[in-house]
Amino acid sequence: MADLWNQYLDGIQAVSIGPWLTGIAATTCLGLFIGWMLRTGRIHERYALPYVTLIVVLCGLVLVPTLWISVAQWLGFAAPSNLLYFICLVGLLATCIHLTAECTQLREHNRDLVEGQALLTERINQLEKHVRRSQSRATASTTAAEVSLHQVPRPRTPQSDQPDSETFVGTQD
Amino acid sequence: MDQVFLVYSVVMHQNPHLSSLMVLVPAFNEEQTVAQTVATAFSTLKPQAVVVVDDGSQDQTAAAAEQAGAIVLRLAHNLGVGGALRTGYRFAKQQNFTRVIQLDADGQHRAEYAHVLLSRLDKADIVIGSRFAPSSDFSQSSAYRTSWVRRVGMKSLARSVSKTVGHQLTDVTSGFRALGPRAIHVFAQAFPMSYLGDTVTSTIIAHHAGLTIREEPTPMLPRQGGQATESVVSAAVLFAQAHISLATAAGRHTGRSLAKPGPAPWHTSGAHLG
Repeated sequence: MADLWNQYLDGIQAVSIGPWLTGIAATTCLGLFIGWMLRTGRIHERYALPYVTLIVVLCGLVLVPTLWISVAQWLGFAAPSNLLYFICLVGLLATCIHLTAECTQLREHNRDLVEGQALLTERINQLEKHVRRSQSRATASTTAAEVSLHQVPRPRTPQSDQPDSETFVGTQD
Repeated sequence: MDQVFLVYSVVMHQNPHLSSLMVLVPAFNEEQTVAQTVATAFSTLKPQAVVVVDDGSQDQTAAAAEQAGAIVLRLAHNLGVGGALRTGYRFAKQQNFTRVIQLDADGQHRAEYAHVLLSRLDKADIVIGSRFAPSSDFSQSSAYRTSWVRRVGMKSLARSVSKTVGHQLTDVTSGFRALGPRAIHVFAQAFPMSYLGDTVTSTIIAHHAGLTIREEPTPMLPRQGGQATESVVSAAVLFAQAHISLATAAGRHTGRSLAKPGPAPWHTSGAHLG
């Protein structure tokens, strides 16, 4: 156990202290920032996943810097930093593709809403026209107005489910 | 709520028992020509409704169309032709229209040829008015002029789509179409929004949904006014996009489950579609 600890300390000493401290500071800042964004609802948990993964990986790297070097050597990378760049690029690309996919989905939802809104607006316009016509008829004849404005749908029997053409005949242009 | 819906239905002349015709005109900044297009459609086709879908125009397109007697569906912002058209098909389906004629608002489509398209709907779900199909009317078939980039793009798209569909189509980018009830049913659910998706990809979707697509030669008029949507330079890029969409369209699942239309009436010997 003590051997392992000494090995670990040797590993840390193998890495220059400046960059190592910078790494710790950057990871802490990123972690705090993402945590704050999540807490205040500025990003959705769904989109925070890649960043949380990144923070976990960075924590591992900062705590055990020698591990990375051995992995890079095992994979055959000439310089350990090349493995880092490679992973970074893959990560960035994955994030972009994820965002593009989300963007497409949002566009599709937006389209559904815009279309639905146009259809509903037209329906409201037609109804308002109908109401206005009823009201102008009402001013022409008070007794008729009593009937048309306070008309309550008759209780329906299964047979009378069809449009009552007589009631609405006056609404056509 | 039921009461409200009934009022609306009667106002909109809903009648499930009659074969009702709707003219669908997508319009984006077409205030100069849309009124004339609507008026011509009413006088030559005698439809139950002319529906103009205002695709977020900045000019007086909606007002002009309304004055001419059209029902205007206003999109809150520009969605492109595909968005405008699907809004129209959703409307047609809601209101039980059984046939739709799709026209461009710029007045290049000649409403009198719509009768020819409609007459062929008894044996097809979609009839495309082709600008390139060989016509007996030679003097007029040359009236359609466009840049060579667009012409090459249109021809190559037509070739690819013909291969997919399995028979010759000469002009898949034409926006002059007649649609029957089965096509309305399909397009109210799935209609692509991408550029040229409204014509090219929609044709593929229709084919995969089991619809029958035919075409008829329809000479076009020169543009009556306004501006063409895209410049010649960007046309090449857009056609490339359409090819990408075409290449990935074959047999794909859109994620949306598509309710299949019923059997074609001409296959079920006189059965009527509701």
